[in-house]
Parts: sequence; structure tokens; C-alpha cells
Amino acid sequence: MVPKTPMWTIKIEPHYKPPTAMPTCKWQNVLLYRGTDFMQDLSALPFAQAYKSIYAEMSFLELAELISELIDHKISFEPSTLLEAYKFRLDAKTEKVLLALRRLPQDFYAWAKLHSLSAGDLYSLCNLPQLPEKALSHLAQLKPSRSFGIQLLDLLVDCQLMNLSEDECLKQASTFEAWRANLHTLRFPQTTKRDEQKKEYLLGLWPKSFTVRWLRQGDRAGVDVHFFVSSKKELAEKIESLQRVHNELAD
Amino acid sequence: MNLPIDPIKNITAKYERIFIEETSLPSPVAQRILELVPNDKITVCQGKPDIPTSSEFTGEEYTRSKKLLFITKHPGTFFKRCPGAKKGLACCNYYVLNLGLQCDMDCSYCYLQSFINTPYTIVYSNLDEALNELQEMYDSAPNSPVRVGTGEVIDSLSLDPLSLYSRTLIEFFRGKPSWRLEFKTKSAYVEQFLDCSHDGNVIVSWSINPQHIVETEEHKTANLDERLRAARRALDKGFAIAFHIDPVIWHEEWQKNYSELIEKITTQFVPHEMPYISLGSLRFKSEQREMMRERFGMNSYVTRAEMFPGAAGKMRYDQTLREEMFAYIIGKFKEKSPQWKVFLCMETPETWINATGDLPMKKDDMRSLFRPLQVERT
Ligand code: SF4
Repeated sequence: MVPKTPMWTIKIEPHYKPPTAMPTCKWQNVLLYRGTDFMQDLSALPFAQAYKSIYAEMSFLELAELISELIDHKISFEPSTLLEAYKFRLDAKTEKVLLALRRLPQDFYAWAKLHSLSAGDLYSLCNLPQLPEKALSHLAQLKPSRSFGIQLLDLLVDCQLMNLSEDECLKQASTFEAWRANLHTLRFPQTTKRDEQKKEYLLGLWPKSFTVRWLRQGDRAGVDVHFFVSSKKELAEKIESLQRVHNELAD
Repeated sequence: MNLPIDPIKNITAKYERIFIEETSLPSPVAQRILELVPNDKITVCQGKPDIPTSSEFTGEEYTRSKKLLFITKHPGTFFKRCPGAKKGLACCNYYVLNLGLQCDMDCSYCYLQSFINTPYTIVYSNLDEALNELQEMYDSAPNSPVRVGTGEVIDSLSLDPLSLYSRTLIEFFRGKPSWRLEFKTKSAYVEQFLDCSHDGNVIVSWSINPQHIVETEEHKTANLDERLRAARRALDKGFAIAFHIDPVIWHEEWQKNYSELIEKITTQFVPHEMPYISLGSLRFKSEQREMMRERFGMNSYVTRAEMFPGAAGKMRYDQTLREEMFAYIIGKFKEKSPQWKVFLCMETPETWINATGDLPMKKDDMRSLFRPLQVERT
């Protein structure tokens, strides 16, 4: 029978759901899974094996959460075996990330878990003397996609390591786009300034009949120009205009 | 020999332990280490030393790999084509001979940080096999103007007082006038080969930067004056020399500092004393950012640099900034004398045109450096 009050129940809810007919499982005094009324005692197995027999898949962050819970409850288990059971390796890098993860704000953790961030994606946080908790929470609240979130995290870490205060990093952060633009300005001040000057100059050169858009493409910045013609005459006019722009362009 | 410091002591002090793979014991480099290095620093091992490491290195693990030295045989072929020989990049004809892996110096921008995953520095003990490969290549095309460099994944000379590979290589290149051996270094170790006779086809080149950059970014390297002095010593012994001002690094005072560097070069050397000076701007793979940030924080001109994805998958400065820096440096040289041959390495054709006015193949003084190779590796 399922005990009414197990000594301790693992709280995390992995994304993987065991089959519905799975019995309730315990390992020593830990309730691993609440399933059917039938109780299966997995204490004879090492913890990692017992857990894997219930949860076939675990993401890195789910495992980290599990490890954290087990440590908090002083359960004796082998973290490296548990990670290896799910094809992760406990090495110096993973260990640093596991430690940093214990300090993350819950909402950020939830966002990272939702998007299956890896140890590598979060490693940069390990090098911060202090976690920018407010900013991380804010990032999670904006619910960015995985790749946008990682981009922003990278900018945030850079800005923090550049000794910019968290408050400064959180300016103009009401929308994801505005926040990213502001962090970009903080991280790339020289380029932003140069781009602004170049942009103003270049955009000002074109007659109204051209659609001109400022664009940064990797290590080059310039203008994307579109125009429409419906006759040879119009084309000749455009070429003439282009020639004027060409002549005006400073070398 | 006239050395400012005892190079062997200096090199040995950088290593916590030197491992020698058993089968490498008879090699000259292993024998020399056994003779010169205190025995308590040496471990003879079967196979690789067992050093646990992460699948992706942490900064500490990378740093530790500079403190352990492993003498072992190179398992594959030694000879490789220059990494600049890729589509979209204009580059010089150049072959690479790897004599080891990892470096005892520690530049913040070092590209080794993007791929090294061996927990120790390696020096290959089977130089004889490398020479056999070279001989085969030479026999197949003895008249081709091949350049062979040894400084791609290990500095050519910083460990040379210990290995003395320079001497063996110089000897090998004697009698092969169409071939050129190129050592590339940030060390000042040249004394160990200056007495070797050669056919004038050995070029010793230095990566140089203003002393301010040496101090802030090129850790554990020889300082600028030491490098220039070493270059002068090599030149006086008939070796050809070249300078690579690479990577050019933007910083507030870059114009002043690069001007001073050019001033030093042009007062200590004259154009005909070197076939070329190459220029390259800071570039690195984006994968290496994390490692640099971890190891050097953001108080480095390199980690703090404003870099963007550019040609060949590398992060680069904005193209206009690169052109500005190149044009400035080239202009300063040309102000001193139009005879200075300065070319851009690892750059896009657009940057060549904007910074120098033309492509390397179209410039008379550059054409010979960019002639297509007639030798292809099989
Ligand atoms: S000298 Fe070259 S190989 Fe050595 S650390 Fe510096 S950049 Fe890397």
C-alpha cells in the first residue's frame, strides 16, 4: 500500500511523464513517484538506476533541480552516476554550473528549464561575482524565445563584467526589443556612436523616391536601397539620382 | 651564447610537470630534457598521462594545460595547409608544420583557446618523421616556392632552447633554395640557432604590437624591445626577418601607440632588411569568447572589443574601423619610406581594396607572395 505520509516526496515535475500504469515507487525513505496503489520499493537499486527506471528522460536543468533537492535533504547518492544515466558528464564545468544554478531566481530557472538550456548556455553566469537576480527575473518575465533569451543573457553578462550596475542594465527594459537595444548600446558604445553618425549621413543622401533602410550585417553597416521603375525613362531618372548620390558620397 | 636570462630555467619554471611517453625516450628532445631538467619534475609514462578534464575546458583547465608538458610522438601527418587558404579570404601561400600543441605564453586573444582540449602542452618527439614528409614533398616539387611555417598551434621558438628543433630544421632546409622555412614567434629566443649555417631561406618572423598591448594582452611573451633586439641579432647573422603587426587591437590610444611602434621599427630597420610586414586585425571565433571572458574578464581590450560576425566565421571589428586602422598604419610606414612592403593577412578582398587601394595580386610588390602554389598535398 502507498504510505500516507512518506518521509519525503521529490517535488520536481520532469517534462517526461511515466506510463499511467506505473506503480507508486519509493527508494529508501523517498517517494519517487506517486502512481497506482501498488507500491514498488526500488531501494535495492542505486538511486540513479531507480530514478531512471521511472523517468526515462531528464533535461540538464531538471537533473540539476533534482540534485539540488537531494543535496538539501541529505540523501546519499552519486551525482556523477545520476548525470551519466542521462548522458551528461560531471566535470569541472558542469559542477560550476550546478553550483550557480542553486542561486538562480525561480522564474528564470523555470524559463531556462522550459527552453531546455544547457550547461554551456548558462556557464557564463558562473563567472559573475554576483548574479543579477532582478535582471534575470525580468528576462524570464519577458518570455523571450530560447535564442533571443540566450542572446540577451550574453549581453547582460558582458555588461555586468564591464562593471555596469544592474540598474543601468535594466534601463529601457519594458519590452524585449528595447531592452536588447539598450544593452547593445551599453556593450557596443563606440560602434553605436559611429553607426549613428554614418546612418544620419547616409540616410540623408537619398531622394524620396528611394526606400532606404539602415542595416548592420555582421561586421558591415550600410544602407539597403530599394526603388521601383515601370519604364526606361524612370530607370534613367533613377540612374541619374544614383549618380548624384554617388557624387555626393564622401570618399 | 649571449642570453639575458637562462632560457632553459625560464622554460622549465613554467611547467609543473613534464611527462615523457616511454617510446619517445630515445628521441633527442627527450634526452635533452632528461639531461637539463631536474628529475623530480619528470614523469615517464606509458601512453597519455591520466589527467581528468571536462569535455569542454573550463578556464582553469585551459590554464593548467600550459603548465604540463607532454613529450610524445605525433600520430598522423605533420603537414597542413595554412588556415588562411579559404574561400573569401586573400592569403599568402603557406604550409604549416606542427611540432607540438599549446603555447607557454598566454595572449588574451589566442586562438588556441577555441579548440585546445588536451590537458597538457605537447611537443612531438618524432621530428625525423616530419622531415621525411617534408623530403617527400620537396622531391615531388623541388622548384616550387613553398613556405613552411612552424608556428600555427605552438610558438616556433618559445620552447626551442629546450627542443633545438630550429637547428635540425635549418639544417634540413639547407640545399633547398626554392623553399623557405618560417619561424613565427613572440619570444626572443634566437641564440640557440644563430650559429647554424643556412642558405638564406630561413625567415624568422615576430608578431609584434605596441608595448602597451604586449603588457595588457600578450602575457608571458617577450617585450617589444626584446623581440626587436632578437630580430636584429637574427638579421645580423644573415637570417631573413619579418614582422606581423597582428592582431592590431583598437584602444583609445591606438594611433599614438601604433605610431610609436612604427617609429621603432623604422628607426631600427630599413625596408630592404625584410621582405614584408603583415597586418591583421583582431579576430577570433565566437566559440572562444566564453573562454576569454572567463580567463581575462572584461578588462581587456580583447574581450571588451566591439566585434561582429565577419568573413570565415570569425568575429571582427567593424569593417570601416579595420580599414581605418590598416590605412593609418600603412600610411605611417609609407610616410617613412614608400619602400616598406606592408600587406594584409587574413583579410577580405573588400578590406584590401579599401585600405590599400587594390588586391594583393594586382600590387607589384605583393604579387610574389600570393603566387598560386604548384605543390598540392596528396
Ligand atoms: S604567442 Fe601565439 S600561440 Fe602563444 S599564446 Fe600568444 S597567440 Fe597563442
